[in-house]
Amino acid sequence: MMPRVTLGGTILLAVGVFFAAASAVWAEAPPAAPAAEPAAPAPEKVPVTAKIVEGTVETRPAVGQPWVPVQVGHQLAEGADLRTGFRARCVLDMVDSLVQVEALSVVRIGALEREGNAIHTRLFLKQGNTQSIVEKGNIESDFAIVTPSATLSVQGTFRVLAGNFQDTQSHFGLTDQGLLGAENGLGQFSLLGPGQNGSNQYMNPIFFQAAGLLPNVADQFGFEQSELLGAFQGGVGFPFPPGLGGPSGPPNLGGQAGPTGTPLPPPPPPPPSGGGGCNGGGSDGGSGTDGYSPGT
Amino acid sequence: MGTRFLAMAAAGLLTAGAAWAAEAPDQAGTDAQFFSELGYKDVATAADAARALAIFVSEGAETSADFEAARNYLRGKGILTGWLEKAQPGDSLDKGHLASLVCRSLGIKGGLWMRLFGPVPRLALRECVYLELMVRGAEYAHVTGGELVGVIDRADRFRLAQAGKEVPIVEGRPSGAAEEQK
Repeated sequence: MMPRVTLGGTILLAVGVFFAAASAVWAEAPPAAPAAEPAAPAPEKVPVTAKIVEGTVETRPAVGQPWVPVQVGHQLAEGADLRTGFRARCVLDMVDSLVQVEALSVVRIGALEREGNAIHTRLFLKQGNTQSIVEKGNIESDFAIVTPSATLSVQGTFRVLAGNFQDTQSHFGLTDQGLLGAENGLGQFSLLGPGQNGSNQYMNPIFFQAAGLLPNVADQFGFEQSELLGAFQGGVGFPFPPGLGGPSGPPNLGGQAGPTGTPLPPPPPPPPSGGGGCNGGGSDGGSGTDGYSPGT
Repeated sequence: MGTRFLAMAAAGLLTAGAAWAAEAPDQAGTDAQFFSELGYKDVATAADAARALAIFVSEGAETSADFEAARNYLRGKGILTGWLEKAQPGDSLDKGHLASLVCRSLGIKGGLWMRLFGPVPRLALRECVYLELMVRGAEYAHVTGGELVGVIDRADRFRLAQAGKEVPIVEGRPSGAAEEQK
């Protein structure tokens, strides 16, 4: 019995000594790491300069600030919004790139900072079109245009077109040398070469085909879930709901102007009995529409 | 005492009225403000359509926010359709009527049936989809504000292309290009 206890104690002692040594080494490791690497320079904010201004071009330094007209030479800081009117354009000098914000566009300068020899640029394109010239040389460019549905990263690119409208969604193209990377909200990534164009249609091919072959959603602003998903449930005809432009005439939805207007009217109460009411049956759902769970 | 009170009230009313009148043009806003705020609307209205088309047809000259003024301008150009003639400012816009207005604005003749029956909503929408001015959908589907902005943008590019013009191409080199040559 005694030898076994002694052996167990010895093993425990050895394990304890091992963990004590390991923890001591681990505890000493972090202080050693910073000493080995030189301190990284702090990123320096770089202003954007308006080089060409045509038509109505307005900017505001931040949300909540008043919009002011943009003149040639106007400097915009990080976080500034820019909007253009009909047939207007504004060319921005962003150190390593020239960006032309075309007509009817709304963009935000998300980031423009210099860290050593690298320029970090993020341009948020809410709506509209842009053309960009990105020069890659001694300056290391980290340039990306972010739209609500896709992010366009430039990798040694020379001339890039990017656009985003609510109906056509994001589209982008490469008209010259270089390489273009596009990533959507699902993290799916794609590369485009010279002369190639792309869009944000990075969806499951079955859903992509279904969206093209099945009847279109009768009205994407239906109030009820069944109205939104009806067209994807079996490919049957979709009677237009009354009160939304059907026989009773269009509703008066004026004045619901997004952030400044009055909100949409509350949705109507659900039908008294089960079922969607719009296309009866067929509540298998599974349409893949984001934000709506199938069936009620 | 009463006279002084009345004078003060009148002065206050005059000041408020003058301030309101001075601010009125700002409420109309520029075309840039109109189109940027339109992009946030869930449903575009007849007033939005009239103003956007007046800006489009006048190539940016007619930017009035007044519904009647925009309609009068379009009526003068022979573009006003029966729907927009009768619509209230807050009525929602649908794809078919927008397509009809776009076809009239651009003078699109269309195919055989559209030449026979004119730019009725269903035929006009098919023509606009064919010309890549609008995305397909039911002609009675509502138009979002962002969609209306996109349609105006593509219609203007279409008109420029018909005239042999195009949107200016950005040229030049960024300021950081000089650093590359060091």
